[in-house]
Amino acid sequence: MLADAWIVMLKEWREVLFRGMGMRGSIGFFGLITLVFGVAIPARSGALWVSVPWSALTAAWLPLMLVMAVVADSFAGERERHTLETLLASRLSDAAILLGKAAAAIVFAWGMLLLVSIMSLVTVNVVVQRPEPWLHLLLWRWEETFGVVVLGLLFTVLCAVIGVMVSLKSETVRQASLRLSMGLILFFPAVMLAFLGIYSVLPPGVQVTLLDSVGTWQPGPVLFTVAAVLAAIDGLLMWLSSRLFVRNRLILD
Amino acid sequence: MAGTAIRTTALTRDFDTVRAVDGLTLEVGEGTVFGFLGPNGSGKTTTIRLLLGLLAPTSGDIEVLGHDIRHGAADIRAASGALMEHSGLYERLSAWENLEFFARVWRIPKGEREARIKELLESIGLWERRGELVGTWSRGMKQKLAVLRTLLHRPRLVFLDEPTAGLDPIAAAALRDDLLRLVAEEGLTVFLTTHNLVEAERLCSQVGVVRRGRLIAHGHPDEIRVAAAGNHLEIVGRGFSPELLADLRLREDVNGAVVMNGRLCVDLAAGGSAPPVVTFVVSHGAEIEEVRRAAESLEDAFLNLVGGA
Repeated sequence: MLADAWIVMLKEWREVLFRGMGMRGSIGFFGLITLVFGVAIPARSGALWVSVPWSALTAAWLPLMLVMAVVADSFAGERERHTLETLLASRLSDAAILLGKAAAAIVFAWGMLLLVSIMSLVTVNVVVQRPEPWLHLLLWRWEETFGVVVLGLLFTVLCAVIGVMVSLKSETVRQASLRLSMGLILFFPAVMLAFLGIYSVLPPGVQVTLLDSVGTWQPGPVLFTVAAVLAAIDGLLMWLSSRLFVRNRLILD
Repeated sequence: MAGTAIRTTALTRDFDTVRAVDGLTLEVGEGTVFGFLGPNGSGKTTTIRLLLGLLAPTSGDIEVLGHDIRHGAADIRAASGALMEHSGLYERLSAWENLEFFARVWRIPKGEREARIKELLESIGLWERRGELVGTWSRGMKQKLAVLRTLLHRPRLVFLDEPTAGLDPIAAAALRDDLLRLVAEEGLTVFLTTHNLVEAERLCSQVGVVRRGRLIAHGHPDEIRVAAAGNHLEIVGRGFSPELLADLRLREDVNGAVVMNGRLCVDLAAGGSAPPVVTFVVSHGAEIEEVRRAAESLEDAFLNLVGGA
């Protein structure tokens, strides 16, 4: 199954990433992202790049944008270009097709995130003047590294699985892109409103205790808790998407 | 006949209130090129989807290559090739990349994969154009490539859903020739749907005619033609007088008689046979050069069947 998913993933990359934008467009796009996030912003930030946890923000933002660029095409594109039925009539299993499509977005976005992160650290170490730079490497603490590598991966999986589910139920790439954009626009205000709503119904004593405790939170347990919650949501969504992927229904759609 | 490649029993598929396939009972022998003929909306594509396990039947049984569809759909797809309604080619990829992707999907080992793609592309004269994006090709070339894709993994059974639809006559004829040669070379079973009766006559050793989801005729194209032709006689000769025609029409075993282009055309009643009618015509002074059963084309037979069933 994994070998089949790998075949689907490579096809997706070749078709959507390299041919979809054209070779020049792809090189320009990836080059620009690497240049902006791996060189320009870290160079401008200097030593702050490793002392302030901006990396976590990058980890959240970059995969989201990169996944959005690829994932809308996954099933809606096949449907729009009349290739889905042929793919479904092949020997590939449901799981291999689904996993291959999601993996194409995940590996691409997470890979770019890691590349850009490594590039940013190299940039900071090159541009920041300091005595004996080889003995005093500017690196992230473990919290930022955990944020980029682990939370970055879990968040990328979350974005990709949601994207694949939306694409699975969309007739065209345009429709899938629109639905994803609308969802994104509504998602953050909805989360904020939900948080404020829950907070406002808490008794005043609990509110004060909660606010006081925020300053004392240890990053380790918080990061592990976030990772566990994200992993649970990822698992749930993957199970849901596998339930949505039914050959009979896809043909009728 | 060798074994049975496809067997359906009382196969039925409903879409809400519409019955797309209605009690289809069919057997296709291995090594047969089977033509599934029917007008638009008669259930041909739905039948292929059912046979591939892409749709579940409402009722009835399907056995393809010895696998029951309910438990062995994946095995059926693994042992088959399919050209569906659309070519299903990735237009942003080259011909080589398209075939390579599907060769990998069917787990053809690397060395064999390249040799097989080359063999197939050379067989239809497209080897030199393997690096071109499929999106830049004509529809005829795409259809040829799509047919090759179905044969890549040397399947035992191939489904072709209207492979020449939308092609100009020259491209369609070229594809038919290639298909005929490839089928002979590969020795496989083909389940082909088509509107093109010439194509069915040329390619198929067995045909089934379907209308509104029901199988209304099944057999060799010649059998279908004869069965649908009715009971007509065509008599070539001289001396077909108006009196002869009037007397012929009075016979109980004759429904009608008419002279067209110097030929006497007699429509025999059910159960009527040629010898008494010929004797009758001769006894009325006509000179006969030739007597033959009226032979309709498969197209006429098809139109009779789907128009009157």
